[in-house]
Amino acid sequence: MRFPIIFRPLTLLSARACMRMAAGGLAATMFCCMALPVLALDAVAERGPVQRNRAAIEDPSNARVIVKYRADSSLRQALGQRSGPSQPVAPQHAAVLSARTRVPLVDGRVLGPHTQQIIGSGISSTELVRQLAAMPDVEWATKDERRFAHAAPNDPYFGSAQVQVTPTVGQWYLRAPDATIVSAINAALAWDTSTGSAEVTVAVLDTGVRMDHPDLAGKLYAGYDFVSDTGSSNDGNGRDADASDPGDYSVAGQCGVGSTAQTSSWHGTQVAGIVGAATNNALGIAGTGRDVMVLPVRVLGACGGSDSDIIAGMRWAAGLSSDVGGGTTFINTHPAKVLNLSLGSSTACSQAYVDVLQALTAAGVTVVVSAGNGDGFATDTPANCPGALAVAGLRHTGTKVGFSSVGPEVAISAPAGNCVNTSGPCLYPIMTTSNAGTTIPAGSIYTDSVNPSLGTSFSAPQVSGTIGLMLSIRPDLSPAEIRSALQASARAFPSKGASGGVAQCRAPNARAQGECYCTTTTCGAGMLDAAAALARVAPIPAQQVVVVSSPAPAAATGSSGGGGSASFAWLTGLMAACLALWRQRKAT
Amino acid sequence: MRWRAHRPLRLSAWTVLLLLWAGLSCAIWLSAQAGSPAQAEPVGALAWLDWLDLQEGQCAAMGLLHHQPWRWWTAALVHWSGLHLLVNLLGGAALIAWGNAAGLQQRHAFAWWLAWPCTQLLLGCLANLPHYGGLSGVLHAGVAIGCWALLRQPLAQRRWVGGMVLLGLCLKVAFEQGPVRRWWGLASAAPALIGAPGWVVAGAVHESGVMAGLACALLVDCAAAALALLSRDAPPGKAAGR
Repeated sequence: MRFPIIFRPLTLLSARACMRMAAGGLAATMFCCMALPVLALDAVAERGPVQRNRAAIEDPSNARVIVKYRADSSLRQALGQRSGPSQPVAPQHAAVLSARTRVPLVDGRVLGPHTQQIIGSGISSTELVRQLAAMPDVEWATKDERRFAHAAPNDPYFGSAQVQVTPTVGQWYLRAPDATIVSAINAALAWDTSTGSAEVTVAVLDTGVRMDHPDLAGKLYAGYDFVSDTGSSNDGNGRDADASDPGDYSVAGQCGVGSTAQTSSWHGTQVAGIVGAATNNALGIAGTGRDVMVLPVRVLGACGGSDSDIIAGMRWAAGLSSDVGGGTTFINTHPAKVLNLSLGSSTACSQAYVDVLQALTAAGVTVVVSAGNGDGFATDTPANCPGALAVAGLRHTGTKVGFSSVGPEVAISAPAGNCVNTSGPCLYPIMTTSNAGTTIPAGSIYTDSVNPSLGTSFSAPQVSGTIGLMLSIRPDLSPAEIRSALQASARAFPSKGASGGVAQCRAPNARAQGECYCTTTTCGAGMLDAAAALARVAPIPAQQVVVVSSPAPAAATGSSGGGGSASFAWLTGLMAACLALWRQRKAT
Repeated sequence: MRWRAHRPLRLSAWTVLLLLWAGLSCAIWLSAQAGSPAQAEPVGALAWLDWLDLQEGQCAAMGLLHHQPWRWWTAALVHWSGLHLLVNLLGGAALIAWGNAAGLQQRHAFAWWLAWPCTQLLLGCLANLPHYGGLSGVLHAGVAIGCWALLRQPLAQRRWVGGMVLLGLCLKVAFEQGPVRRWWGLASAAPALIGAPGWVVAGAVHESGVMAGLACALLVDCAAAALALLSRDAPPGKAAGR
């Protein structure tokens, strides 16, 4: 019976120990009784639950390495000569490598004509890779590591086939796309590359965030409240250091003559959940950016927000300014590299936004803005401003969702939620964190099919979360590089599959347009693919990039030859000295 | 026609050592060609003979003393190419001439033999070379030992020649890749190896050779002087007792 290699030592040791102690009767029985549970425990651990400890500690004295030799390696040539020209040459060079490294090495399995596994003892895999990589015969060396089946986060609302909650499709927008959820952003696969870094901060400029939501616990910085209008701030004051959302409800007439009463939207809490809800915490939903942190910046109150507050909030969130107005200074200790603005209104881009976006871009800050819910009209401000990364909304089928604005300013598209039906439970909403209060805060809840989150407001945070993941592995990325990577890795829009009568999207004009097949001039470069975006910017693991120093073996070894003392000038001088000595000896 | 009787050929220890080196080097080179005609790479015998330092720049070559001490000497017998061997043979011939012209004695040959491992050891401290083979550094050590021997001779003319050669040697090494480049901060700009593919020279080994040669010559001369002092101070009864 063959055991996996990791079990062999323990198995052999136990069997040998059992045999030795068999003569001892009771003692042997006791030993085996003690040893077998250990084996059983180990086996159970091997066959255990899907969630495994991926950060396994490296064995310092047992190395497993995969090596590829150069095609012109002299090792290969020497082996070929010994085997004869007609014999296939399997790479088995452990003996020679052992002599060079002074480490006991054994040939492992052959993986290809130039590739083999090497097993070493008394050395770690990392160290053996380092030593082998330095050899001229070796094209590359990499650790022979263990891999695991991809594991979905254990947030209960992440998966499909929900039975306790609606939508039954759960967080469909984060999963891998398939024939049904064509526009899903493939975040689940992206998390195999990175689950995000807490060093990366994504600012959510919105209505504030419910800090008490359990699925946002530990994921929020304090932030700041930039709503200066006390008449619509709903918290009884102007700007202050409390970025929590008191509710953006309004009473009739509060927001202008003829305005109707509105319930609280908890918009900021919903956006924040999509960006960075605590993930794999066995609670609620997963966040796109998983482990990235969220900086809530309250810029919207009961009646929306003013440009002056929004722009001040943008500058503060990025760390460009600590002036929070009224002569007050409040330093942002966690400046964000990504700003999410799920807000706007339909006007031309103002110079004020042009300037602030220019400053933020120069500072390396990416500003993600939702295109707007204008039923196919032109994108809102500030999405239509230069430097903004505008995001349009898609249905689950990949077509433009009816309410999304469009235009050439749009950089990319992402799911915005759609219901399919006009009555009954909404089938494909964007499930996220929220609050049950209709005015002031009540209990923490999640949006669902009855109380759905729909809108390009929820497309933008998927892009922001993805950028957070990208910055987690490449903090050096500039806004231009991020935009380029997102667009280059986006999946192409579908051109068929929707119900009959769906036309291709056209440039926005005075007429609304509902669902349509996206084009690159109306919905951006394509459908967001978080995994592809990460793959595009992910650095190749160092141990896999092992470059031989030079193609010429003698030079590549760093080997030195003699001959320096045989240079013509030097030899001439030395011979002249010899002649002088001989003449002198002859003279004496 | 008058014939003279043949005089028996008397080779100095210095010459014998160099001829031994040349013979072994040629034999190893030929055996390497038989095993791997395309490349003189560290394969087979060469893999067991060349200088090996995988500590990457750390002065930790002492490890080989415990594991494979023969490499301290055999590295000088390994050559990566025919050109490499040819040039070293030429250098070896020049060193034979230099040793005989300088009148080097047995103790100088011994000093040179000692300088072989010392050169490799110092090289491990001066340069980061995973593999090294060849006599280059040791040739420099031999010239330095000759200079030292000449400087200790009574005739001013010979001391002058020794001094000038040593000065030239030091200048060559200093400007090749040694202290001057380091002092001027050019070390990063200077590659570890100089020359061209197929004939690559590690400048640092020349530096280590000169240092090792001078140190070993000094050591052997001191030891010889001490021994002479001891034998002079020995009680006369010992000699009279014969």
